[in-house]
Amino acid sequence: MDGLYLICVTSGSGLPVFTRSVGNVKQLPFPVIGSLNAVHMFAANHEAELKSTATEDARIVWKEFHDSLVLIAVHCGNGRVVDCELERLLDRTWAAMVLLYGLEELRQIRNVERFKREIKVCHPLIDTLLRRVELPVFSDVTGAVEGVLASEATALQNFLEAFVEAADTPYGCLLSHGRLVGATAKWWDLSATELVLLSLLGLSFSPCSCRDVPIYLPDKSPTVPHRLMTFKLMAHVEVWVICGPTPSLSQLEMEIARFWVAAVDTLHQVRQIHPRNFPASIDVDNNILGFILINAATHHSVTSVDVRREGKDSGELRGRREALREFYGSVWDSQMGGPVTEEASTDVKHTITDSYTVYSSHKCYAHICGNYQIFVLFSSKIPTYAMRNVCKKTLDAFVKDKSVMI
Amino acid sequence: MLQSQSPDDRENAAHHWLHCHEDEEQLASSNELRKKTKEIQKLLTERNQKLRQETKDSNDHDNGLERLSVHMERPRGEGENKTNAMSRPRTDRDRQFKQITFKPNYRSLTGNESSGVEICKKLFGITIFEYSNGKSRLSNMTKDRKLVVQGVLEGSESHASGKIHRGDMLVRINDVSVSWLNFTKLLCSLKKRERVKLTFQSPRIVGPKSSYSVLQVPEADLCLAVLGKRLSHIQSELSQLNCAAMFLTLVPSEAESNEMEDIIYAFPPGEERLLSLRGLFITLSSSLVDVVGQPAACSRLEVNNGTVNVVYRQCGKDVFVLAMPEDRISLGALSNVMDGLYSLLVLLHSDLKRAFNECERTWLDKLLAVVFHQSLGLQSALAPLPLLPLSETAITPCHVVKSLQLSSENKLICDEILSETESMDFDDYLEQKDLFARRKYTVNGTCLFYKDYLVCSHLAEDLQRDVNLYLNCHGLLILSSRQHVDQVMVWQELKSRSEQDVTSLPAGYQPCDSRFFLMVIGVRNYYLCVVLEAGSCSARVEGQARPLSLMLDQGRATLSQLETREVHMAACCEDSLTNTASSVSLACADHLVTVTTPRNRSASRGAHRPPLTPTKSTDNAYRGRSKSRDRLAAEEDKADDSSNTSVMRRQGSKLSYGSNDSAGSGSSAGPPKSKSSRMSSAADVSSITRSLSVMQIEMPHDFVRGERLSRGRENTLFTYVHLDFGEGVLISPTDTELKEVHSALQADVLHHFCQACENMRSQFIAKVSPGNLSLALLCVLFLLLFFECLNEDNKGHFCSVCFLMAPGASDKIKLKKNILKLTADTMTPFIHAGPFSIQQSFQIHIIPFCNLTKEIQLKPSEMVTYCQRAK
Repeated sequence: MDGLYLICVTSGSGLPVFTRSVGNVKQLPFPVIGSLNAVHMFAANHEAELKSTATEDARIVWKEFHDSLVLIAVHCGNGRVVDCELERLLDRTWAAMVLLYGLEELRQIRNVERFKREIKVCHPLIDTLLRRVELPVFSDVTGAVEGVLASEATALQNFLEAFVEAADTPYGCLLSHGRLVGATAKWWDLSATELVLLSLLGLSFSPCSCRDVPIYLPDKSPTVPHRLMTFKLMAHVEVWVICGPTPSLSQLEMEIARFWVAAVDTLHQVRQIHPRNFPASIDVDNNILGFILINAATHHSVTSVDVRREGKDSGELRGRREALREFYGSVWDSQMGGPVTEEASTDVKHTITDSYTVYSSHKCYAHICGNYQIFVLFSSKIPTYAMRNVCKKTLDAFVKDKSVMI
Repeated sequence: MLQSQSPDDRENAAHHWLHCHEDEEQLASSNELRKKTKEIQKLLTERNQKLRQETKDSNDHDNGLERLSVHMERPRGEGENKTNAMSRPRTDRDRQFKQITFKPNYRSLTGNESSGVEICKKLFGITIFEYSNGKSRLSNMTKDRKLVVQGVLEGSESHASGKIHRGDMLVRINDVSVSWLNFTKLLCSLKKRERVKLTFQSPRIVGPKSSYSVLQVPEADLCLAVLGKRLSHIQSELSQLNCAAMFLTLVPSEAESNEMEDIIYAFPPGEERLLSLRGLFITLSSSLVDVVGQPAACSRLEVNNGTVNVVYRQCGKDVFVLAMPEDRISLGALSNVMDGLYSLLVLLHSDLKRAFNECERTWLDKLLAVVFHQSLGLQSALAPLPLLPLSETAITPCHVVKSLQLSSENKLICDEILSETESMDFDDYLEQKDLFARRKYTVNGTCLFYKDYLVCSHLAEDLQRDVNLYLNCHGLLILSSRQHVDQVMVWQELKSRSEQDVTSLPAGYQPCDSRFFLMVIGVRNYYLCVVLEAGSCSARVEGQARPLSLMLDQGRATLSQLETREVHMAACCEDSLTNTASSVSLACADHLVTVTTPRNRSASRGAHRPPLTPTKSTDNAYRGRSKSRDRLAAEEDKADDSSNTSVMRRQGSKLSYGSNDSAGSGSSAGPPKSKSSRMSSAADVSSITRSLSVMQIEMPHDFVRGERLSRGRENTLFTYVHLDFGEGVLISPTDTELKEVHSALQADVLHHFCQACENMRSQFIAKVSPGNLSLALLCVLFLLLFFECLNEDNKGHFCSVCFLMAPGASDKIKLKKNILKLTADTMTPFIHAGPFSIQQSFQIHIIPFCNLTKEIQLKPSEMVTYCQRAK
């Protein structure tokens, strides 16, 4: 049994609101859900908070939000997850619910039955969050929104700015294959959670030419809804804006042709970058199978598992993603990302900067330099001693290239 | 049918019978013949008695024991018997009724006795406890009281029967229920010359009965001896923290009468908060099976604004719970503690449930007090133990002790002395009667501890682990490291060895029915641990087994042999502990990261008083012995300090002296390094004298337990850990060595090192276990963490690397042959790239890290610690 459950129950009465699951797991019967909630309530009644429980293979994490809902994540099967990973998942789930439903209504649930019906709007996004390894992006673990590095980005930025001004809003971004090509300054100001959730929201949408979705930004305006309008410029290329009550969808749709026709060629070029996700001007070592490069300050990241456009099948690519995720989780959660204990007595900080792991079929290397973090997946052919050098050179290549902004 | 016998007769009988085949000439006389037949008769009856005694004992044992505890009384009833499938089968009656038939001794009655008590005493030799002074016997209070036996007179029939004990209750005389009201009347009405049947009832017994165990410590209080605090004090300290140990059982919901019924044991007694959550623990441990198919292993709670880790251990329907706060002990370490306690209880009582039912509560309280105190890092009231910079509890589970390497001659002496004990060659001390009898015990193995180090061991691995476990959990090693332990004596039965599970043994193999005992004797700072076996080739011991005073004396004599004039074992041990010159030399992190504030700079310059002459050159700042340096690196870095160049030039001139000098701070050049060398040269003058001895003979390698620590040209060894789970030994720098290099930064570095090791090991265990299906893709071979230590202006920093290699990899890489190649492979990433200068070479310390898990046998895997200096 290998899978992940996400269970939501109301806080006071313990009524199950929804249960989402992924993986080949059986449906959880009601008494089991009840018992899971019961232990949490029992602890709460005795002024303790049950945070997590683990068995040999499984892990259960509880979290209560605003005294109104309790989210429970149950992960079973092989694959080691740490508590913080599941807690992050719960936080994101809550944020997802706020995004699509609004904080006020979540805080005070008057009619549970109605709430159960209405919260179904969040299910696609939550399912996307649960998919984890199946996702083509790593945003859910890294906490940074993914983008493509394109030298044409600056050119497209002008188009975007113009369009966004016409939409009478400061928030706008341009996406290619679900990854950010460019965004307005205010868009970058959104918090990491919001950025990540919005990009995942994009993944959860079914393809359509334009849509108008009411959203509540979990950090900026959890109670005041905005409208997220997405427009498809061409296949896999979309432009998004977050607006207030005006303009309406149809109005803005008419403006698209005016603003974006001139950019068609550029957009074609940008679209071609996928799945490599960074321009040809940056050269990387032959042995690199994939990488994750994160700028922790701006919450921007670039990832790729198909660096040389080898045209591998999806199974292979999925394997690479899984390997990268595994490596990221093992290194970041347990070691590098842990709380740095500042020793007051010493002036020096003793922190982890590099780590590598050699697996039977590949090798991985992680390097942190200032705000940048790079996690590289190498084939087995690379000699171990060369990994660090290659990694650092790659990072330098990305950071120092003036044509792209990471 | 019992006959009255005097105890002396019995003794004589045994004594004589054993010798009767010797005294052949005495057999000639008919007197002797008659005597002999009488003796044999007595012997037979005595054997009869013994047999009955045994059956009575086993009966008592079957009935189990009860704890008379004020708070937690556990009523035994039929229903409970059914639910406790794990417990031994109990009889239906709560207590045993014994019926003894006597021929009363009417001759002693004088007819003047007024009270039934006196009559009873004279007739049967049984003294009944009188609640009052006998005057107000018929008051309401005493009316309901039972007739309890206070004592049995020696030489009377009751004593000879051996069945009546203090505490038994007289319930019936001749099948007539007796109470205080009719006691005297009944007794008076007994017909003479008739046998009287008395029925007694055994009481609920407090204390262990089925096994005899001794834990003798100075001041008769384990807590006081080991920690300097009384149990109550420790308990009150513990109740401030959120910690608890509980043994809980699942109570069927109908029996809700007594709220505390589900607690079989709880510690510390003042703990309320976690105890109130016990329903949570029980539910989690039992209900998770429905959810995920496995019982709960651990949990995390937020209590009182602090996180508490909880670990569980199932035992049928019961669960053993340990909870400790997160800020004092990590989850991994807590699991280690749980494993240790569980193993100890199973070792001593062969079953967790039996352990909690049968053991002495006070012992358990004290044991847990010591364990909690150690785990939670509370401060002992006695001479504070040196603060270990390594949090070794994280890495080392409870069955691991530090081991001490002695020189081969000393080791031989210890071995010889131990072997003498094991041979049990003490005929001279045996009594005549025992001389030709089967020996009572045989020695299975011995081991010797000095202070808290294992010096010499003749035990099998698993027995050694058990002994280590016992000593660690009880804190006896802490005791011996601090003071003389002349009063320590331990005698314990190792029940889990005595009652081995037959199903786990190969088919057709019948294990001997033997019992194992552990005897620990303390003399001065030594412990002699002896594992004895009764059964197989020695005489079987039934019922309570007591230690032979002969064995105890022999043990003490053994230990005293270690302190004769020729053999000064204590001095030798102390020497190897404190003499840091001959062992691997460590470095202090502070010396590497120099603080380049002007103030310090001047200070360091000022400290450059002792000139660095070639002969008196200190060992380099890192106190690592090194070969001649590579000067290329030095020249590349431009010194910004004139005195620096002078130092370097001087060192350059030293090079001309030949290859065989321990150059001064000849490692990778750079201002910080030489500054630190000056600082260190002032700081530890002792290293100068040491370097003198080192200088002449350049020992290029350190040896740790026979394994070579290969070194390269420049390196700094902060610490090393060799952990052999299989044997239960740990090798690390001694306390003295660690103290020399102790500093805040050092502690920080080592703390991270430990944490990293722990993390990596847990990842390895998780990944390399066979049940993991995604292994094919993600088999971890190497895992490395590279720490970088920066000070404020990034001027001086060093890097430490912590590296773990899985066992399978060693085959592929042929580690033994190509150590250097391997190190080059793994470490040269850090040479050729980045801020490190090209020509630096690295020293690798490869330490075997044995890892023996239960499911899989892994071959030794390597753990490498390595430190490298960078600009």
